[in-house]
Amino acid sequence: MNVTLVTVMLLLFGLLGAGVWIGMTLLATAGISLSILTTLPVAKIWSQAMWNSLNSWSLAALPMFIFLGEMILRTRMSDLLFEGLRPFVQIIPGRLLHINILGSAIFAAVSGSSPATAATIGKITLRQLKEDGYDTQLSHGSLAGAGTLGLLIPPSIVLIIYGVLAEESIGQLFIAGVIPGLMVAGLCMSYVVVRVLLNPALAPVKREKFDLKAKFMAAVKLLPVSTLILFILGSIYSGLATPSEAAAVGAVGSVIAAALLGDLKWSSLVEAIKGTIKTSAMICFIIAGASFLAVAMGYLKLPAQVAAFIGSLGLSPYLLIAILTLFYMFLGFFLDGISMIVMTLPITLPLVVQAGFNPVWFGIFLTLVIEVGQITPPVGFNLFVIQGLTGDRLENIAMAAIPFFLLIFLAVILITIFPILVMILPMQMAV
Amino acid sequence: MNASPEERKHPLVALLVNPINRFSDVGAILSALIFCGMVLLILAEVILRNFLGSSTEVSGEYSGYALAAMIYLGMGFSFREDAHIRITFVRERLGAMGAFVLEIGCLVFVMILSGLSCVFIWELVMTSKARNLTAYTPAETPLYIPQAIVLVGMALLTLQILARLTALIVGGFQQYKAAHGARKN
Repeated sequence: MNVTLVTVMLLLFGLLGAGVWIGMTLLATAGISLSILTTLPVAKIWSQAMWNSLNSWSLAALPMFIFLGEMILRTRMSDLLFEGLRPFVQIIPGRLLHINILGSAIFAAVSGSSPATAATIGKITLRQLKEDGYDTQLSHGSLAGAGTLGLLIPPSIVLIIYGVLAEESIGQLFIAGVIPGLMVAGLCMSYVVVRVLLNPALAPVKREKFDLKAKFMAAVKLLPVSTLILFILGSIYSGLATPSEAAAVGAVGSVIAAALLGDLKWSSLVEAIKGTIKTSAMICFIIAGASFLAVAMGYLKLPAQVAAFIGSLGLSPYLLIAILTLFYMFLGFFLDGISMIVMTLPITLPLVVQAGFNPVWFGIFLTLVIEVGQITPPVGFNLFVIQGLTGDRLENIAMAAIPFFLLIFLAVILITIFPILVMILPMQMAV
Repeated sequence: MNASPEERKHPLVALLVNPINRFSDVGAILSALIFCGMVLLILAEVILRNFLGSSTEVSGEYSGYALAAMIYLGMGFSFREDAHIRITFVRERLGAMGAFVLEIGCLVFVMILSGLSCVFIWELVMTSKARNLTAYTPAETPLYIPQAIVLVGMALLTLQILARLTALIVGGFQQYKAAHGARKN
């Protein structure tokens, strides 16, 4: 084995295992391996990486999309989403369980993060589902699975970061995520339908009746969130605004929407900003550390060596993708999605592009594979969120998530066989 | 990081931890203000460009600085609030004493790392200032100004790590054990 690779891996997994914070681990791995393996001016590369990685116009979208999600979480907009969807899911077997999935899909369209999606939707649905006697396994599992839509349905924090690193248009990536996102939602909903049809005891028998007026009122309740979605996605798709600009419009829009609903409190605004700072600092520190590690690996010539090694194997494109899928799933057990992308992209992106895959397609592929990591223990953020909301054991929640894990895996296979599912919308888009 | 009444009276806590917490709060407030400023700047750009056929000229450049500034200034606060993620898998399987020692080791390690970052960024700021480095933009912003804010942020983080380490040691093993036992994650 290659000494450089072994050193980097030992440092990385040793420090992670010891419980050093992830961003710090990445920074230390890069700094220490550069110091012992090269004679380069480490201090200069270190400080430049910490500065350059975050002095970024495109990444500025990140805290603003986080803020938008925080505002929806902390105001009545999230309750309105539940009430608005309620009448429309009555005819689908599994009824309110589908709010977990549809709610996640809709919330994902204004928020970029998957734990935030699971937290917001879980906060409004899980208690209600339990009170009404829905199956716990199915309600926790569907939330864990559908919560991951936050990463895929635009706006998406992961796709912003991917776009910045791969130098791809973030707008195109966003639009590319729409169909796969809807597909994952559809797969999850179909699974719930099948389960409930096979075993009606999983969902309560009573069906709520809503007349036309009630349905109309419900549709009105969906207006605030759908208007925000329309603004954000519409402005990006039409080319009126860049993703960062759409994020700013969305952030201000969420405050205005809260005010119009008579629900704008100073305390919730302060809490939303605090939450934004905390989440953004956490994510961005990982980005800074991982960028330094990516630069360091470049100096250590790891990407070139790995590429030469993979090249010598003469893998077919599909086999390469299969191996990468397993590789990322393995990493996903231990790392969060953002660290995985930032660290590995300098190595994997050239391989994949050389094998003939489109970088936009690879962004969506990576997002799906990373979603899987969100619901696998021991490090799976959606599982942590649901654990926090319910107090259930992590093992139980992870078990409940397994079918949804497999569904996302199925989606990975589908987009690999039919790349057009990803590419059709971006190809239509005005650049 | 809620200190017990006895701890709050401890001279180290009063002299070190409490002021550091205040510093981090100030950092967080500045971070929040910069965030709001960034949103308003970008919004102004959208309005000017789409409706008035004009531009702020600087929204792209300054939002980059604003992002770096808000993130680093919020770093001490977010560390205190335990927002940064780590893997606790191994620690949970150690005995309380092992976990206590490991935690001290982790904090010392990241404090050194964060301190080194400060030194390196200080050198970066000094180089930018000495060479009069400016951004390749019409505004020609001197780079040492936004870079100095990054330095302040990393200093806040280093201090906050020191505060946490101090509180942990002042609190002692018994208190850590009690807290560790109660919190299963």
